[in-house]
Parts: sequence; C-alpha cells; structure tokens
Amino acid sequence: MPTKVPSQCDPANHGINDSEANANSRDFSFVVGGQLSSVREALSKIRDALASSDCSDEFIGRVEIVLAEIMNNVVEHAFAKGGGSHIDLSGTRDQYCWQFQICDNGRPMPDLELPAGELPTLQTDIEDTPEGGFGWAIVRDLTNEIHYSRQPGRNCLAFSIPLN
Amino acid sequence: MDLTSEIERETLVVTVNETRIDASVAIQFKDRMRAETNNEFPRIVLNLGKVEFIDSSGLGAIVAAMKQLGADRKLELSELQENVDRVFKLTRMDTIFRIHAKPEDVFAN
Repeated sequence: MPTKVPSQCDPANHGINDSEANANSRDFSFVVGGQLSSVREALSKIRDALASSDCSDEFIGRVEIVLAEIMNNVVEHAFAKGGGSHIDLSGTRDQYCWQFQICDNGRPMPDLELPAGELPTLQTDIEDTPEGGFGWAIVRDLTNEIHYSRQPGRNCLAFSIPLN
Repeated sequence: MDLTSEIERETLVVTVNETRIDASVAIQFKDRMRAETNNEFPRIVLNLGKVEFIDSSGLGAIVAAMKQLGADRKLELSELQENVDRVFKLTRMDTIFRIHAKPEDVFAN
C-alpha cells in the first residue's frame, strides 16, 4: 500500500481517479434507494464493510451517524415529492482516514451550499426545546474537508472522517 | 417499535426493546411514547440500554416525547451506549436530560 500523509486526506483527491481508488480491496461503493428503509439497509452493509476492514467500533459509530444524517437528509429533502431516486455512496481507505463521496440525483441544496450546521440554542423554556436542526452540526463536527458541489442533475458531497 | 414499561418506586421505567431509534421509526417512537406515558407518573425514565444507534430524528423524537409530558412531569434517560451518548454530547442534549449511566443510579438518593 502506498504511504500517504494526512494532508492527502482531501476529498479533492477522491473520486477523480477511480481506477486507482478501486485498487484497494477495502474500498466500497453502494447504490442506495430513495427511502429511509433503504438508508438503514445501506448503513448495515457499510458497518460490515468497515468491520471487515478492521476499523474500530468507535470509528464505525462516527461513520454511521455521519452517513445516516447525510442520506436521511437527501431522502427527506432532495428527494421530496419525487425529486430524485437514488444515492451513490463510495468509501475509500486512506492511511489516516476514510474518504467518502455521496452523490444523489435529487434537487439541489438551497442556495447551492451546505447548511452552516450551527447547533440550535437550548437556552429556551422546556416547551420550546428544539426537536430538529442538529443533523448538519453532527456532520460538520465529525468530518473534515467537507465539500458540496452541484453537478448537472446531481448533488455531490465529499468529505473525510479521521480514523482516530 | 417495541416499548415496555415497569413501575418501580413511583417511577415509570420505559424500556426501548429495539437497537435503533432512527429517522425511519422516529414517528412511531413518539406515538408509542405517548401511549406508554398516558398516565399520571411524575417521573419517567427511558431505558436506552438496548439502543445501539440514534440519529438526529430519533433524538428529536425523544425531545418531543419529553415535551408532550407537559411541564410537571420529567423524562430522564438511562444506560446510554457509546454511539447514543456521542449524539447527546455533540448536540449538547446531555445538558437538557438527566442521564443515569447505570441502572442502580436511577434510584440513588
């Protein structure tokens, strides 16, 4: 396996040269259907793929919540009202991280950019405690170098998650 | 969504007999919690010991379950596994709920 330095855990290096990436047998890619139950099934397969690649339970836990939040968001927003149908997800092992790319054929992100992901305030009366708005905060907290691009007919999100 | 309840020392302990509270079951969870807590118990402890995974929708459903109890009743949590605990900490929801690490902590003091 080629030795890489942490700075190469950059999603810009991923997804362009697929032939090189696919040389690693630990890499994976899945096509995920446009329903929450499909996301749940895909997460189970991804857990298995990472476990067979000797990733720690702690790391797999971080990956699972990030991928769940992103794909649930795609299904609930980009695919709402027939806006899209499937998600292409791939994971590539690097020395210090895994790089992921998640593309979907749904509607674009509002304003063509990722939400800032600031946590909603909890300094409220109990009856006003927020029930949502946490997803992107979780994603941004657990990922590095996250990058969204709108391509013809699809959204692509690339990011890395450090092994430690 | 399999929930079961037991009464212990005037506390209603609701146990989630599922490994996941995620977006695909969040509404069911909230509805089942409404049914389980349709009583007068002032203190309810939600035992999450079997839950291996929760996402932000599941978290929102637990917040909703707390809010639907009203101001005079309390929802506490117990036995959070590592992945569940991480989500509560990342979102700072661990500052909203009283969380008991072990079963015996629920009835300490």
